[in-house]
Amino acid sequence: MKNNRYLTLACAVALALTAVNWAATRGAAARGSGDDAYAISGGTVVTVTGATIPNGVVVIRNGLITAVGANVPIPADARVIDAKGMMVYPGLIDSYTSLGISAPAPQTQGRGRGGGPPAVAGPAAASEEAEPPGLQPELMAADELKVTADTFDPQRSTGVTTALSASRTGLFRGQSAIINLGGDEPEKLILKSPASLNVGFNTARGAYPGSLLGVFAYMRQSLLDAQHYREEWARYNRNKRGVTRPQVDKSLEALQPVINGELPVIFWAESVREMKRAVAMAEEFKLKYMIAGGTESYEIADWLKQKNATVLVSLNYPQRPANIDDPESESLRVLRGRANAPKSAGALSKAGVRFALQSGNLSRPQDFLANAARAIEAGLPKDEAIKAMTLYPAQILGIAEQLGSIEQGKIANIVVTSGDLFDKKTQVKHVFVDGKPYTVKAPAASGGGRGPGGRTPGGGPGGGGGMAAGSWSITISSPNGEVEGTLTLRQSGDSVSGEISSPFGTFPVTGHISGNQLTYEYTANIQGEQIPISASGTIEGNSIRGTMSAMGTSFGFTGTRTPR
Amino acid sequence: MKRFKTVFLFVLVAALVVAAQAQQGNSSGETLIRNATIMTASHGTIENGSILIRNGKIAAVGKDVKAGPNAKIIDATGMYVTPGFIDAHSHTALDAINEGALSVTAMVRNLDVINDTDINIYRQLAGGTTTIHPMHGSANSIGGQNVILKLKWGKSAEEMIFPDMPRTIKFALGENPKRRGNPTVPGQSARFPATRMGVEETIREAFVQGREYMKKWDEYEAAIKRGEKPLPPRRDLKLDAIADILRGKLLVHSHCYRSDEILMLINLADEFGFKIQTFQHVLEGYKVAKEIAAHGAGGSTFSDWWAYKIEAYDAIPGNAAIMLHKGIVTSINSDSADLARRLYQEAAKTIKYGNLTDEEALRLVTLNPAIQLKIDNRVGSIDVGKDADLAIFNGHPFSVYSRPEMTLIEGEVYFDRKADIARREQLAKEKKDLIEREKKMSGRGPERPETPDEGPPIDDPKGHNHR
Repeated sequence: MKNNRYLTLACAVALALTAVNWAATRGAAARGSGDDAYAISGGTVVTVTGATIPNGVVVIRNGLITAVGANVPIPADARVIDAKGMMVYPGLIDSYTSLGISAPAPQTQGRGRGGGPPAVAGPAAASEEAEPPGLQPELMAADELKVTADTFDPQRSTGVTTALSASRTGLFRGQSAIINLGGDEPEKLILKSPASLNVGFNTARGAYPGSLLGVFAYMRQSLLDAQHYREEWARYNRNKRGVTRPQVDKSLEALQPVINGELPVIFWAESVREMKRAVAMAEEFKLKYMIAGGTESYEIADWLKQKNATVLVSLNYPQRPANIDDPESESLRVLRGRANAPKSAGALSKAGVRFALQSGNLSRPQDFLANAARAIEAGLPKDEAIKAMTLYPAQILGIAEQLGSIEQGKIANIVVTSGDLFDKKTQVKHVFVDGKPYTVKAPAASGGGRGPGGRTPGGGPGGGGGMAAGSWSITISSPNGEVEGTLTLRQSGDSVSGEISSPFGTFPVTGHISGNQLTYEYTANIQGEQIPISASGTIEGNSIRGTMSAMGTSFGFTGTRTPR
Repeated sequence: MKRFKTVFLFVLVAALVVAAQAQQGNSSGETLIRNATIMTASHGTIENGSILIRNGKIAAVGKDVKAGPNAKIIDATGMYVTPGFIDAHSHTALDAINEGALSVTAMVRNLDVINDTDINIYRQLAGGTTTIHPMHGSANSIGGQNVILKLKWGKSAEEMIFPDMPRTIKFALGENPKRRGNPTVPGQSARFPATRMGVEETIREAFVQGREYMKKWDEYEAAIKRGEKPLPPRRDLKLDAIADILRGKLLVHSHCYRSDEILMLINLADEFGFKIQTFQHVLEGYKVAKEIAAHGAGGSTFSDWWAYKIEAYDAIPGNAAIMLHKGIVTSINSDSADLARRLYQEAAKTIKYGNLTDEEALRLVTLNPAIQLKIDNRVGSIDVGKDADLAIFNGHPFSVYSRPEMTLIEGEVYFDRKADIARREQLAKEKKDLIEREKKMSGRGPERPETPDEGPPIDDPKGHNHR
């Protein structure tokens, strides 16, 4: 009897397989005639915009969703995906990444907008050198995209099918593109370009703006210059005869839709004061804007609501740095900040602030969902969490007509999971991007990640690794003899920050890593004097060697990383 | 009848409003500090005196001061009250100090980078300091625009900004702006100037440009008046600031050491027709005190901090006293998050070194810096009408055995030693709990099953500030 049952089961499986084969053959034949059809059948379909459909069917044809419902007939030419017992979601949207974009090589010479003397008017100055990367609002992410067939495997395998992408380097990081994470040709990925001008409060390293102070003055001067440029050209275009032609400026040209309130600016701002600075800048120039980061927005959710702000909340929560030996050495404020970060999304949702969730360039893509689950634990309602990864970002980014829910006519970006999206045991089973199925690969094979503790060289696309992070015991061969110190660094993308401690005191350090080349700067306050010190070194494994410069002299330093 | 009702209702509501206002005035508006030794910094010391605070202002000071029945009473028997201290040279509460990439950065503003969470705010408050002047650094000849803050710990940056804040800008002379011989810092191009001559030239060039810039705008305004519609000149934030110095709207506070460079800047300012508001550090001020006084500039110096660099070798401990006696408005500043916690001790040293009276010494960290910052209409002394920014000490503030017990800003208690001590246990527990919680979290292992076991996930930890 028992054997009999197994036999029946085996027959059923064989039959089912035949059916799939048959459908697949049909599909292949049909594809020859231009159609590419799939039916995801039997799963619980979370449409997001409408009611959830148990035992539903989603029909996909030529990249679009053609039918959704409980009793939708499955077209004869469709390949059928049996989703019985599974959940079917719209593909997730990650609203702030640098996917497919490699970081530009750092340059040190800035033209110094607002710093140097005003450009000499006239044709002679027209060939003026462009601003370096990080100060080029004209940079288009769409032009920077470099992709191969497996570039987006790690993201797709966690259910992310659409992303906003732009460089994460510098102050004016260029104009982002919204891309679908499928295919191997940049042109086929792009849904919208430009989608935003991305701005970070970052310095130009070695050139103006070389500090946060300069960052704001530079930004303000650039926007004033863009306004002046608009006025200058408007006058010229009204009456060209007898008027000297104004000079074309790519950067100021690129800022026109920004100052006209047509293209939103996305400010990367995590702390309360960064967010306030972003809002102040946006209000000063009447910019359309969003905040990306929002790590401390739990503190000012009501204020953000009052400002009618939009926040793209980073799920790259701050974490305890690997190199802290004595947990007591961290301030209560820092500890509170880390404990409270997952509360931000919930607080924004409660306050009625427009928000979406984004990965903040997490180095492990699988943490996108895991950290969203932590936001749910910390008070974000689950249906809001799903919306914040689908419909809300689509609405915020102006692509809700095509994406963000499972509806007839929308792009077929679909994720099929073994269970609830936020359940730890859940696995992604099928992913469709633009109506094409992609193989789900285990994250272990994702590549581009990095080892524990952020200490293994390497790094995700455009993300930078954890090359410099750690606690370094350094010996400085200063003109007055050897000085021992500790350099404690954290790394975020290619930016480095931390502090340096020596018998002279402890001072905050900022810097940059490019490949294995570390540069950092700090201002030592020695007996009341602000002494600027800069250093550059080469990291090899757990050792570093380089030079420091201060007060007119250069001297060597060496160091080793303290094992965690 | 209906009309009568409406009138009645109106009267009733009006009466309630008046009652509510009166109550508010009595319960939250008044504070009386009584039985204190009051060091006013302006009109001597009052024994067994009282200070009445109403709506954040000093309403009465003297021996016979009466408060309303609902006033909050602070019994200061055996204690001393001084004006809150004012630090004329600070770098506290800033996320960035130097924009050193250029030699003239008049366009940068500390207003953009205030860090209202800097713990030094609270620590300085605990030392009786209530107002600070966070300045741009000294990396360049003309630095950025400073801010003046009240140390209202717990409030936002906007609320800390001094009301109707006078605008000041940092200049720097000597070794720092010339970078001690113009080093080539890796990643940075060599920057002019490399000598004191170059520093002077850099400042002069900025003012020449500033004058031209003002002329362009004047011509534009004149054309507008004539009814023409010319293209406005390009707004240049750097030259806007230089022009504001020339218009007397932006006050110069210049870092300096040597007497020759002090004279140079006085001459240059006279040439262009602007004033130096205050010389900072000014360790050789005693050599050219007459000239500084004649120019009308103040001097803000250290009590006994010297020899830390080549240009600080000629410093003498009598500097503050000599400048004061030569008629210079003189202050003692900290330039340090540490010294700013005990400005009263720095002031006390001038009594030893320069035979100043208690009141003269006290003014070095209260009324005089207030005058230098042009905020003496609101703060700097205990006088009726001024902000109730006060420090309460358990003994004479110039005794090393004394300590501040309470600090008030605009009548509100921002530091209370007793409350601080009472809160410590609870904060320590919170910290311990948070550390434990994090340990547990990282012990939870991988967040998702497909995650290869790499130990606790450590992604790019955030460097939250940009210093």
